[in-house]
Amino acid sequence: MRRIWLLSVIAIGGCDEPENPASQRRRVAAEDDFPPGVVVDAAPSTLRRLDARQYRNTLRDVLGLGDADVAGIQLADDEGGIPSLLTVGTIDDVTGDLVAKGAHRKLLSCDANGAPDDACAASFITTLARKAFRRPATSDETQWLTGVYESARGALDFAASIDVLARVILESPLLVYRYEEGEEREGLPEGLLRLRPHELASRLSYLLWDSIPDDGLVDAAANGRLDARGLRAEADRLASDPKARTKVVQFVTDWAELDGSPTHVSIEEAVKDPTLFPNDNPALRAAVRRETEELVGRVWDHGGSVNELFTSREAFVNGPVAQLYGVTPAPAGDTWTWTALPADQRSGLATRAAFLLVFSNADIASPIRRGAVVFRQFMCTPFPPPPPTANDVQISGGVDPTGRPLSIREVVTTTTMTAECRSCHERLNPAGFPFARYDALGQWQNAERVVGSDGTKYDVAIDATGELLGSDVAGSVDGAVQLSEKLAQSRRVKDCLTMTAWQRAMGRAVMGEEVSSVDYVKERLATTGRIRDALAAMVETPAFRYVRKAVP
Amino acid sequence: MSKRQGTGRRAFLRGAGGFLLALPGLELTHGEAWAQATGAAKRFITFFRHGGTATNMPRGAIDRLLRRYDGSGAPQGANLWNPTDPSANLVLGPIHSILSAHRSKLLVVTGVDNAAGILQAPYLGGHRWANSTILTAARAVETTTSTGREAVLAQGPSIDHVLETRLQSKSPTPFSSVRVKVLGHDYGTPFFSGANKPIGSHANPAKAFDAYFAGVTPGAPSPELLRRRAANISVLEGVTEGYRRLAPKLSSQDRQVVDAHLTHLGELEGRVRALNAISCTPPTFNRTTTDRDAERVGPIMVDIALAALRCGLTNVATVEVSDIITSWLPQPWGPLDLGHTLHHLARDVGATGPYAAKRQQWLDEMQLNRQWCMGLFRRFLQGLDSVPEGNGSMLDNSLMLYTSEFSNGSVHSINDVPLLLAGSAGGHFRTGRHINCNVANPTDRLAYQTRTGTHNLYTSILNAFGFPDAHFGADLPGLAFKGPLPGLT
Repeated sequence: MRRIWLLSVIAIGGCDEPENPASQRRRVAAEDDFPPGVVVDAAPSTLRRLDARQYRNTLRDVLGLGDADVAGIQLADDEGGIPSLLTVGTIDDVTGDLVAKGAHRKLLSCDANGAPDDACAASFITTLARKAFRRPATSDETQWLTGVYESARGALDFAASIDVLARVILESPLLVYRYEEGEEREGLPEGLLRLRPHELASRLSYLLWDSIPDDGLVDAAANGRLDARGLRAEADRLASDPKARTKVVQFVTDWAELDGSPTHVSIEEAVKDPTLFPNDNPALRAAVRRETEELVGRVWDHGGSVNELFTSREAFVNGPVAQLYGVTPAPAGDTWTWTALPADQRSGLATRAAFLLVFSNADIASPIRRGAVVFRQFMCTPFPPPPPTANDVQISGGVDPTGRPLSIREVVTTTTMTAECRSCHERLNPAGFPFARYDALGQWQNAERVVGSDGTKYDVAIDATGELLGSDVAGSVDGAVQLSEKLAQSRRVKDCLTMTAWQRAMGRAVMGEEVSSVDYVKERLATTGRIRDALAAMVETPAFRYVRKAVP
Repeated sequence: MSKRQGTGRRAFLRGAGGFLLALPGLELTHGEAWAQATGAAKRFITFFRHGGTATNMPRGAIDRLLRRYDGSGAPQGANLWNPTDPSANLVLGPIHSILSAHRSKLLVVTGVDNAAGILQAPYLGGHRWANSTILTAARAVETTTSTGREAVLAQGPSIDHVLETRLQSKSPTPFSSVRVKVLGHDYGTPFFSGANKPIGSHANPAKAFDAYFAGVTPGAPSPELLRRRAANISVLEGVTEGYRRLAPKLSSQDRQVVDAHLTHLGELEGRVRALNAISCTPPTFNRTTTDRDAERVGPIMVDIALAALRCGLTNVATVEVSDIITSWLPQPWGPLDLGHTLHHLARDVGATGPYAAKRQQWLDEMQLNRQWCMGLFRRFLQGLDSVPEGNGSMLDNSLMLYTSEFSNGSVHSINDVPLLLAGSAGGHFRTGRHINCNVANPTDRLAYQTRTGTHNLYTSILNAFGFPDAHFGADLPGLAFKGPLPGLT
């Protein structure tokens, strides 16, 4: 009995006296369960506007719409991070259009065209704000929105006032921007704040869905269940949702720049010579996009293996795509089926038609473009733009003065091994040459067709040897299947993927305070090779769950 | 992301021929009503054509003697932009030839460099550097966007925005500016409202129309329209309050974002309120025209911006035209998909280039391509000139500027940049002349040397609008001289 009493005294005494700072940090660290060895630090959180895709998804999920309802919404990037008049005007137009169509009415618990009902308006504020703001509205915000409603009622009827209210909520900074305040907590290292539960929920949902948290995640945040364990569980739940699959497919499509960039066009817009590719048409472009998206989706379904992404021979094809790949028997017309592609010809993403036709010219393959994208996108190793005097006339092979037909490889080498070009092209060219066995539409070719100055056509033997010089997977390869194996093995590719994913999640470059957290994610991806594990690791890190106090 | 779409040769030519048609029936009965009766009201219109024009300029430092390409080597050596007479007697060059009926109202200014670009940019050129300095004459910085793309951002406003702000404070209009764009291929906007603040333009015809004309009616506004305006004002006031409440919680960096948002909300609200005083007949067009259909979008965008000026909705307009696809070229060049790539072929149609035999064909195609955009300029010019105002026309009381980020796009030259003015800004500029700032020996047609930069021209333009500025743009070390461009007035 006496012993129990003593323990109680000690326990009570512990509550009254200030906790030792070191002990506080240990306790907080234990609660947050950060991975051992990762520096507990984070970057300041900056206000960032939803990008076009996030904006579409957010409006869709806030209002309970379908993808088609928001598909036409375009919102340009603000290059300097400062919103332009066009951006603000577009947001006003978009919300005006949606509200004019009554998109918000289903969240209203009364008849908008019925008798004025202030209680119904108050309930509408609570319901819509909770979704739009990704958390319940504060009393201050409720007061503001109630004022908006009352003011509108002074000049407008009930239905129009509800419309005004809906537009104000949908245009508010709490929807359009991602704002993270963080909260003080004893025991945190100096200058760090922990994200509030609803802010953490939003980080998670935008990471995995590019959209708002669903009710389950909002509830988990509201009920204090987003501790380390709860967060892991929610991350796992969200990653298993089809919205995560869509996000990852889009992420990989962006990573491979298949939707275009300032220097090249998208799958649908790449110009091809119709005389050389009579099988090319818009339906084929849509089909090769779908084939690549299904490849990435299937890889994600299996956990997101980087190895599988670059080496899978499985393909989801319809008739025209099967014919493009030389698969026999090809399914009839637009019947889609999974099939295995020829092992000596096709590997993962970088050997699929979508990738190959984007990084080609109209009539022939472009080893330079293909080599450049491998380094720039897959290895995060950009090269400087060519100097303005660089000759950018398309290389089409040809014939030398003795009448000998020249391969594209030979002409590329001759053209780019000048003093000015050599420093970049001695690495770019060998990364692109292994793709020589695919034509400009991504079809397999056993010989290369070149055209002499008199129009005569020649078939030239292909040399598809090359190398990823200066990378962690150097060493000669013959063909893009072997090159893809190198990419699958490369640590640099996995690190690049991590960096790209982190940058997209935060909407900015990796900051110094985040390096240890990012290194942890890199290590996880290098160890397991699965994108899903990398995303889970990201969620575990202090840089994901904390923010540094911003400079006032 | 820049997206492109093909344009057939036949369709392209059909579009070019369309310029000969009469102007669409805009608000001819109302234009006069809203234009002021004297030459005091001045409007500024900027046409910006991405990708350069077609000249034989090399790249070089300002104040150095340069030699233009003569065509004996790989570079093609022709100049389709400059007047064919170096004197003040304006003999229009090939691209300008379609403006011959309006020669007396034009000023072609040659021998002017983008000095700010030359003094700062790597290679003395490059698209992004050229874009961010051509209209701003400002300092610029390289940066990376949130999606990892490189960008160069001006650290000061472009001339159109400076005038927009000042004219708006002198004589407010519902829109401080009207900005439209024809999509194609480009490397970023040349328009900036300040440091790191690029200005976007409407690229979709229907959206552009709705943005500027949604609340405009030919007669008195209907009760329904008044009700909609009241609702819009309630929305903008409510949203503004939301941003105001957030602002005090933010860091100074984030507050810049919210402040910019608030400024734009204020502009939107100001427009809605100002529209109550406007009645005018909006232009008509096919609303289903897609924003990638450049040859149709071009005239529609001109009509929208023109109508906005004629209706008194604004005093400042910008028309941005990207490099328009030119896949109508025959083999061996086609199907190439960029007007800019087309220009890069300049190196290959010179005497020693691989396509020397195609030189004339290339020049013809280039001229047609560049004239297409000049045709849009002409459409705008004619639209202003057809409305009497005071003792002249709206054009006489306006100033139109046509330029591009490059002269010779094939070598990214920002020397001797293309500068065409139309309208005299209320008689301030003496038009019908060629102002040649090339101070090299005039008997040597290939010699080029200048001390003049776009900052000088823009200073002159500010002066023409009644603002006594002594300098426009950054005070960069290395500028040969500051102050207005001599000889314009």
